[in-house]
Amino acid sequence: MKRIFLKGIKGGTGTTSIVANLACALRKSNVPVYAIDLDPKGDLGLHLGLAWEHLLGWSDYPDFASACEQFHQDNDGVRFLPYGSRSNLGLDFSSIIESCQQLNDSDDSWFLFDCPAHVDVHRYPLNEDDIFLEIINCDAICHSFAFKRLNTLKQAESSWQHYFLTNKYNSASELESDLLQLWQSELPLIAPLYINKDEVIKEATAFRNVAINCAPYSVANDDFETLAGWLVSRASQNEQ
Amino acid sequence: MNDFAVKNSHTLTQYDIEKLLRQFGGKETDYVEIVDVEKNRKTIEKYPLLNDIALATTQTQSTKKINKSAIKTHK
Repeated sequence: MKRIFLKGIKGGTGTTSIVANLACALRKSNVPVYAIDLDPKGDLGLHLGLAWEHLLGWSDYPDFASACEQFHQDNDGVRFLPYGSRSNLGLDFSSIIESCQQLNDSDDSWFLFDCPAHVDVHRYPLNEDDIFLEIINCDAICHSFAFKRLNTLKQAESSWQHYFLTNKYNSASELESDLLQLWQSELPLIAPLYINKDEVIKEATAFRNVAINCAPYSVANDDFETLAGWLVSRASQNEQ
Repeated sequence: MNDFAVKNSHTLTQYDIEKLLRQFGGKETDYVEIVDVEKNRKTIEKYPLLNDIALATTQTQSTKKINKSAIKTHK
């Protein structure tokens, strides 16, 4: 069981899009992939083809066993659990994360958690094999947040694998190019890859789908496949 | 006219990498990270917010160093 937590360092960094596209990229290896929406504002289901009218999710159930009714499967075989409309306060995100152990049907299973930006990383029940990706955009505010995060991580002596992942990178922007170059050589914990800004991601969502199905030869899809490959290598290092 | 015999390539060859490893790498280092420190410094200076953050983080480190030496003096 491999657990990946993805969280924006601030709102609007594009975390949910990454979760949906990454889940489908990992599914290409024919391994079980679960995507769990922990973000009340994420709407992960919409990226994976769930009907807009569908309002129910795990937050509408008193316990995990009954919440499992809300697992859906998209056309690529990704099993996903929407957040819902929070009509029942019986479950919180920590118990959902812990309860997902019950679904662990294979050592090769991937669990992707779409985490809300406002909940701090230290509130998640993480262990040393977990990979936590904090999504950043190439702007000065993310630069500031990243250095603040580094201070709190240092103080907490975190045991999990924490990385900053750049999303929506626009190489035509001088500021973004300057920042990425600076981060790649000087920002600790920066992932050695980044996701380019690509119109395909927005278009795919409008078509109720992901980049891999709408534009398999797009830059964005290449980036998600690279990200999936890198995560496989990180996770296999854990197993050694 | 170009003197091809002495023209330096901008691409690192295996020889260049081994030379850099001998110069800067330790025994267990199997790669060399090349950082354009000067360019990074100019980028930081170009943007005031980045400069503030760089100054703040550097000052924090130097304060810690001062504190450490102060403890040593007390001993």
